[in-house]
Amino acid sequence: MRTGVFGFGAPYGVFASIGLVPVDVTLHPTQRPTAADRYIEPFMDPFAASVLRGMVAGEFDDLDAIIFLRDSPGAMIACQYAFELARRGVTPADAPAPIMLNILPADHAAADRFNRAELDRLTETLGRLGWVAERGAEGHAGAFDFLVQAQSAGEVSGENAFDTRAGVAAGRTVMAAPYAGQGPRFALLGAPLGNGVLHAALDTLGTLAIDQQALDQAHAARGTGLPDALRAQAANPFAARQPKPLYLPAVADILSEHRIDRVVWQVDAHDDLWGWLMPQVRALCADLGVGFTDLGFLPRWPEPHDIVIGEGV
Amino acid sequence: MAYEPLAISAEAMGYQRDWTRSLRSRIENGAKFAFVNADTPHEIFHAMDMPMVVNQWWSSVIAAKQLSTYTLDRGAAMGFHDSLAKYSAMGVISALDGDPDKQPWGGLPDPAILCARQSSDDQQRLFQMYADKAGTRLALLHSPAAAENLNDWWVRARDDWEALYGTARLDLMQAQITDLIADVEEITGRRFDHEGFGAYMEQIEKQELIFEEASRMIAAAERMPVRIGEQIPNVMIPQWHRGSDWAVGHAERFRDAVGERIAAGRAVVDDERVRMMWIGAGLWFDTKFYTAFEEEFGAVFAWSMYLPFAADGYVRRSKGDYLRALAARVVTMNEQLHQAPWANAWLVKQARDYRIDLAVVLVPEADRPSGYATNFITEDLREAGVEVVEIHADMVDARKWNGARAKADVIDGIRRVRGAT
Repeated sequence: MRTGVFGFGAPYGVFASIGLVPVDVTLHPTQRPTAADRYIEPFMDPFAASVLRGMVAGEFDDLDAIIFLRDSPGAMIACQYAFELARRGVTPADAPAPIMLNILPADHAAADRFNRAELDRLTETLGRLGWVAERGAEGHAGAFDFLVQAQSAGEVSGENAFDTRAGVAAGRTVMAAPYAGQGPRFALLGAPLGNGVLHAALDTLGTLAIDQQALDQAHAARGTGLPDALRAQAANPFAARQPKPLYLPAVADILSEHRIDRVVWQVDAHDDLWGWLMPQVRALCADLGVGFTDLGFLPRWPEPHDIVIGEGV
Repeated sequence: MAYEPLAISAEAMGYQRDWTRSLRSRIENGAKFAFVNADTPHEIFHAMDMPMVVNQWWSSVIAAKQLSTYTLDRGAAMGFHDSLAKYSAMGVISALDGDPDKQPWGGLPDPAILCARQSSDDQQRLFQMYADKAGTRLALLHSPAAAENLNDWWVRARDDWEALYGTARLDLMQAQITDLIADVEEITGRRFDHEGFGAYMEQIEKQELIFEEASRMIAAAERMPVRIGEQIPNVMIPQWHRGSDWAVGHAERFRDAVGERIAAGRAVVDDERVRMMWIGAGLWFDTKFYTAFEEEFGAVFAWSMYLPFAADGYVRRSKGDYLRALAARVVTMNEQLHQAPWANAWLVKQARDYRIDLAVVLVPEADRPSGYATNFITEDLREAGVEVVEIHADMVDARKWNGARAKADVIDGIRRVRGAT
């Protein structure tokens, strides 16, 4: 049985602790219209819209189930729409079964009990679909952490790091290509992207040393064994729905630790989350003497012509 | 005959005015108060006599003082882009701006506690900014999703809420409510009275069931007896004070006044030809819109969510465990109004109960959680024989309101209904 996962910040350490290694379908682009489109509002999260189109178009038929991560923006609504589209007969009968999963980025006692109950429900649900836990399952934390470090060291380009991470998460065997980054050091912050086009553009201007999306992915994947992996969720400063004020101190730390010269910020046109942080990040950069460029709204799968940047970004 | 407002509407407004003055006076005299979202367990603050300012109510006060354009423009100047939500943010932006000349009451002092549910993705960011500015403790309540949104929620939620909402989610919410009680005890220096809380919860249930009677009477009336512009304050003011003697008494007076109108054969318009429902939050900056179609078209807004949701959204029979019943009330409170299939199924049932001809759906594109499920709602309503008009606008952002266009769209909808009869 093959299981997919939809949403940013997939808790691979948590999954591995129960013997599950799902393939990530979040970045899979399905832009062409399908029968789902009559229900997709124009302001829907683009990744949510894409996964719904993909399910209706049969592009995930090799999967038996897709786990939707409620704590990733857009994933909860995608899962509810997936249920509803199935109920209306819009989704083909052999499409993967949607499963809602809440893993709270918190580790107080009530949250811990809740998260464990959610995992019990997940294993029961998957079990009914024929899933059998994989002995010795391993997540991708090692690969993700390695890529973060290699990218910061300029040994992997921003675009290649993006593509490699995406490949690892999607279950493909990929190797990062050697690289020698130079020039001003950038951090790409804001909302997650669906491709490496912006990363490639930044590679031409300097070293894309840090990508917030990669940091979130690496943090969320950490932890060996369930208690450790759940603690990693609570400690993830880049988790979109992190209830503690960890994000800004973490950004301050990475700007310093990775010797960032300029932050490049961007969000989706219908962003309803990350934009609340932009003025604080901009102010932080000013305090630290780090450059700040706000690219404004970008499509989540940008084309090169969407990227309007040049020297000095 | 010209429409005559219910006498009790002025009473409700007067009560709210006096309460607002008293709240302001208590706060100005140094009372510790809470700033909370509408979908949080207000019952805890009420039960412990801690003054409370509700974020969305405060937004409506800002709008009523004609300060929404200023406030939202200030938000833009701070760097917040225009796609971000407005309804839950206006009070926070106003506090961040901090200009006493541009805030109701000259601005609020720093609250002693902030409380929000993470029902939408932005709440922790918004409230964290306020907490930082005010140096205030923040009670953020997790808001995990249901494993699957099961219908008929409005039936099952009253008694079968443990199965409907899920034990794990209820355990989590109840634990968080217990933590919130400890916070409020620490702030106020008072102990939570569990026995008194049970009696208070019973009063709330009594109030909501009275509203249910009123809703059924209006739905069954041959012609609409009361405008929704009057229904809303007569429901929402008691809801802000739910469980108090005044609130229960006012619910009874409202129900009785509605009954008298129906018995007397009085109606919003004598020649009622089209019944409409307003789906979404109130259009706070242009409430006259609701009456604009009565005279020329005999088209009357008969339904808004506030009255029927009083019972369906709040009645959770305690079975002896009042904190758990409160958790069941709060755990999915506004999601039921906006998520599929909860929202679409409930709205179709309401449309049938109220014999609705035309639904006008407010689609706030910069408030995704309120805008989602629109297409499920419109399709299901149309299948149920209800004509639908969508209005893409925001409930508090008057800057983008095109009243003439919205009116024309509704008139087109009315004509389609009348053409079909």
